[in-house]
Amino acid sequence: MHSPFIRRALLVVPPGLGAAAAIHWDAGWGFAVVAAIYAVAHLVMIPNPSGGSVSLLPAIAAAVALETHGSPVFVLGAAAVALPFGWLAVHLRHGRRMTDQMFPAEPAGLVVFGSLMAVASVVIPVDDPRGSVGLTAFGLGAVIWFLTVAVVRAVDSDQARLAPRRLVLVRALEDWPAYLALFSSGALYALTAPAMGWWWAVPLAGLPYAFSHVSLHRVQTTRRTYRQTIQALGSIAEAGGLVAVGHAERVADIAVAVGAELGLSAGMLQRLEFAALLHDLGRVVLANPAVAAGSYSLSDVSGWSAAIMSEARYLESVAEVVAAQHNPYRRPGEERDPHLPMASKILRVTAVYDGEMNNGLSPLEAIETLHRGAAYDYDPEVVGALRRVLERRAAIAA
Amino acid sequence: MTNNPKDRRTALLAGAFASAGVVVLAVLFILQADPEPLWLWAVFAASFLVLQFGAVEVNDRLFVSSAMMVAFTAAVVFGRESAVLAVALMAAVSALHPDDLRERRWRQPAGNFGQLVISAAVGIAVFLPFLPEGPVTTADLPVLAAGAALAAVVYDWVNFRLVTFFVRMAYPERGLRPWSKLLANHFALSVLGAFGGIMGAAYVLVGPLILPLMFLTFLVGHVGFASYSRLREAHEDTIRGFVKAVEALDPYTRGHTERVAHFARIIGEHLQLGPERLETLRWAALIHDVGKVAVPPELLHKPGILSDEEYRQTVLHMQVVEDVLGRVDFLRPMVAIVAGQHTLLDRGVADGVPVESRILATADAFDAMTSTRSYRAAVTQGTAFDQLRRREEVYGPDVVGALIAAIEEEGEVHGSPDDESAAEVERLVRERAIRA
Repeated sequence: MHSPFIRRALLVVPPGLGAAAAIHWDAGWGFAVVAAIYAVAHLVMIPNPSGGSVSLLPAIAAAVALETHGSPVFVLGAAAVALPFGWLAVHLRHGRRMTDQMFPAEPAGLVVFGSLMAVASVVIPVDDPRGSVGLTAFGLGAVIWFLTVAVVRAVDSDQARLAPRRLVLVRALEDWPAYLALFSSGALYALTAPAMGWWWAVPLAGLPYAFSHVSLHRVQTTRRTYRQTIQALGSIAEAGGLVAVGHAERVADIAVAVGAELGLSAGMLQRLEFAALLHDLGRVVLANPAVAAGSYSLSDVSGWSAAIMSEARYLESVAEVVAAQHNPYRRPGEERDPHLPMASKILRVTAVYDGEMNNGLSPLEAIETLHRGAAYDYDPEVVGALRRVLERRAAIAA
Repeated sequence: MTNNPKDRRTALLAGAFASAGVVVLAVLFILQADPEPLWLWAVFAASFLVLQFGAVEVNDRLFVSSAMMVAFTAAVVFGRESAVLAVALMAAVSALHPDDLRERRWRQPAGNFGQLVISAAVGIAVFLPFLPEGPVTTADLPVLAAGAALAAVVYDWVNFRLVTFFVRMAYPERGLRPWSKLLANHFALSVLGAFGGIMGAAYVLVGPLILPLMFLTFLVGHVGFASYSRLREAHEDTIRGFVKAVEALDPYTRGHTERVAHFARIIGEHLQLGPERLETLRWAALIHDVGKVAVPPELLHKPGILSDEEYRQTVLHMQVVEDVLGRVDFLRPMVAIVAGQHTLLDRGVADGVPVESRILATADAFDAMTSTRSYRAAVTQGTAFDQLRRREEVYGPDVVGALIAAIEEEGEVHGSPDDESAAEVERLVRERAIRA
């Protein structure tokens, strides 16, 4: 999937086939108009909760599928012809990163959806493609489009080195509100246009789109700001010279990778990231003269950090992860402490790993230190996952 | 039932509101036909209920819910004969918030019931003339959309008036903040109303198949804005929590930031700053002392006045933290205000320093003077005013004047009650310092 050859082939072969189909079936001007709309649709985007964007493509395809009763020439053929223009437009407007994110995931979703609609148009009687059976088939097709995009994005992920495929998949599945809005827009247009005319159908259909565009844009901005705030708070202890510079950032980066490796949910990964960024926040307590140097332990620091965090209601669950990080993962006589959150174990292992690296050890030596603490302190399962992450990042030899 | 006159007043008012609501509903039952079919009304009522409870703060104190859209969709769907009754009944149901039921409050839901029913009835009644006599056709759409936009504004305006009236009468001591976003709110709601009208026409023209799509549209809007609102709240909560934690490091300054935020607000309001500037100022006041975490304890807790070098060191340390916070987009304007405060105190001249920074500096100085610290007692309010007047060239006469006027207007008293008690506390503080 990473090969540029496949990407290039994707941009040349489908348009050729689409154009051939159009000529064969004598599709006419309607075809050209639909193709042009497809191409332009690439440029209108909704920001996605996962951080990327999704174009208007699903909405247009949805409307075309319902309007033309699943005609493969219009749904797939016109889209195929528009593909290279869409790609070029996105590339010129948003650059390489966006084209990588959208292609080939979006076209793949379209192909699967278009094929399903074509099959449905054969199976469902002609007078019911916009009836309840037709709409159910359409809804199903929409869900499958969404899932296809998520899977293709995960498989295609260039970033696999930094973000494992599973993480990409989980994040892509968070994007359902934008897809829901787009498919609703498309279907609303197709249902209302015959009865109300397109000039009323377009604003009505634009409503779900507009709602989600505005709100998701705000979600994205606020989420970015929230992370910046957490980052800034995390580096306050650094600014006070109480922690090594960059420690929190590095721990957060590697802890999230290890968490994804161990299959944590997206919500848990977020909590782990925040916990890692804030785990040394408690050191600001050292600014208080009542705390004499050397009179505190590491678990005191986590306790202070957790206490500060729990002042913010929304960080309580993050505070729990931080508070428990210095608990042993097992006590004498037991296999593992079943109540200790995985995130706490990951935080501890990765924080110690980074600390040892700061002390001048090599990654392999740091991992050895962790192995030596396998009796009670560092869960071997987590250390194993850390080793795999480091191998993938080529920090240590496989 | 208590004998507390305030409670009695609220109860009376809630009763009056509820009775007015009941009367309006009774009249509507006589004038209008029952909404048919009932299941359709129930579906609309349910979504109205959900959206009404889920109103989200999309901007500072700007609450929007797409319930307005549902109201106008329902009005078109049920037609002239039963539109007002249908929507008023939907509004009546939505007065019963589960939180009120759980906590067995009755005054608020009773008041809400009246206010919601009346505003829905008035709003939809204004819309009635725009509804066609017969079945809706595409030719009616422009009139429907325009009528719904207008009626939505009336609906919202009546609602707002009733709420203000209730709050003013029931809680006269609670200052009602000017609802400066009223215009923006009206605009948003009139757009929602217009779309609600078109959506209703679409239902009539296309048929019930469009129903799921309509509700998906309502849902999409709600989900997006709700998650935005949650995130925004989490973000602000995080900063506030952190500020509180930092404050706790120094027992003498506990509550200081909240007080500075309060003084800054009343000065800002007196100087008639806009709502957005007031909000930024509030955040600046909340974070203005966060930089202290990086100040070495021996400097931070040093009794008495700092030497020039020590002061320079303190500011330097605070600036490091402010630089860190300035990396957050949201906090950048607030950090700029705080930095302006340092510049002001460094230069000692108000010229060229933004008014927000001067307000913050004045609020900070006033609170420092009127609260007891480890090394000295609080002065009286009069002394603090005199001191500020004497340093008018630093803080700016407009700001100092505004603080004094605002505090006198609010009838607040800060600091030691009189010079004798100030002297007494001063003596105790000194004694303790000597013993230490």
